[in-house]
Amino acid sequence: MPAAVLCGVGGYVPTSVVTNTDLTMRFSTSEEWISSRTGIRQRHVVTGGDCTSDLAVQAGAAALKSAGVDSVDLIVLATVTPDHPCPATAPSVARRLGLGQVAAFDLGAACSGFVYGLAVVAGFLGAGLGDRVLLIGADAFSTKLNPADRGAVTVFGDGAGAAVLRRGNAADLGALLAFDLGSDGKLADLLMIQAGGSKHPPVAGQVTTEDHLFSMTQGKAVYRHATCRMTASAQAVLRRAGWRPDEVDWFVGHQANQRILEAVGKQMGIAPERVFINIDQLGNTVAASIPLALADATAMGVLKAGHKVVLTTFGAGSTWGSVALTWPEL
Amino acid sequence: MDTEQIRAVVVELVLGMDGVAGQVPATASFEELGIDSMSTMDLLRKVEDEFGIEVPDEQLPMIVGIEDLVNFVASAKQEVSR
Repeated sequence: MPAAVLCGVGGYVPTSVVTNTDLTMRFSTSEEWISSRTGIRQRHVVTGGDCTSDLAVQAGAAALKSAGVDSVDLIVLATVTPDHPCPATAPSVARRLGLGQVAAFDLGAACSGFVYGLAVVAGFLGAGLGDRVLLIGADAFSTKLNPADRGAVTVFGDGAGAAVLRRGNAADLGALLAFDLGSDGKLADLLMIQAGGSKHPPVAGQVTTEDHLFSMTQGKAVYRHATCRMTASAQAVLRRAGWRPDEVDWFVGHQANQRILEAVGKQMGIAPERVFINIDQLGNTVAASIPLALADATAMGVLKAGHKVVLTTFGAGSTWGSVALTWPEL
Repeated sequence: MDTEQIRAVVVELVLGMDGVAGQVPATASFEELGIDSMSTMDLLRKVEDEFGIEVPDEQLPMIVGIEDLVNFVASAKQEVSR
């Protein structure tokens, strides 16, 4: 049976690091408070005018190298922090990667962007529109954070992760075998930046700088909906793949909060040592989170050829999704 | 189910939370019991499952202790029975 097959991964984070100690100097908090509630010890942030495309280009190049290819038929960039509201950032990334006049577009599904992207890419390849795709998840969300909001500044970091996918078969290692995607617009205000779109145009005196920034105002509700949706979505994808929870070698969830990942793993019956965690080093990197986790897990040698892997996410929208895949030889 | 019975079930669920042991005074806040905001959400999920009710997001800031939770469950059950 035809399937999209993952054949390369890569990741990149900016060099500037903000530790919990740094944050205790800015906010009334402690290192223990931050790490016990989030699992985060540090996050990387862009500096010196660097933006999402700078991160995306680095991760994209790493993924192309990992796959051993120098051309693709499509670039999809999952991001909610494009360089500009218009045009999309993907064409610029394609040019900078030397990929010529290849098809390129941005995909906006926040923290679910990479998982949604995998489904879109599988559709593109399945329809025979091309043989190979570069999917990048990249966000410089630190540029959107309300600097006075402890909840937001504590949680988010910047980065990019990428994967190369090719047209192949379900029996190939790296094949994407099952998907589950969903959304609930009733929860739109759960994680929202008010301005910058068409609803609140930049009329002088009507839109403040704060309206363009993100604050974490409903942390409890986010935790609640994320654990519930991620668990249900991951269970759905397991059913579709025909896998039992104890067969899963690695559960790679969106790194939003270590407590969410632990709660989802527990509810699914996946052993804690099978739940991949790198949020301690990176924070929540939005669309980059899952591909960065895959790149890290590959570099660490924990993901091995033939492993059964489940990806699960929840993000603004709200959106959620899961993918079941086998891990390729990289 | 009267309020006393609801309270007994809620206290039982609270005692099942990690790190909670010994006395659970009905007047205690979750914070005083060592249950932080995210663990409170785990507790709410168990309460929702146990009583077959749903706690709307807008109620979350108001439910900070056992008594708040018991009162919410009692009024939600009353709504259901009407």
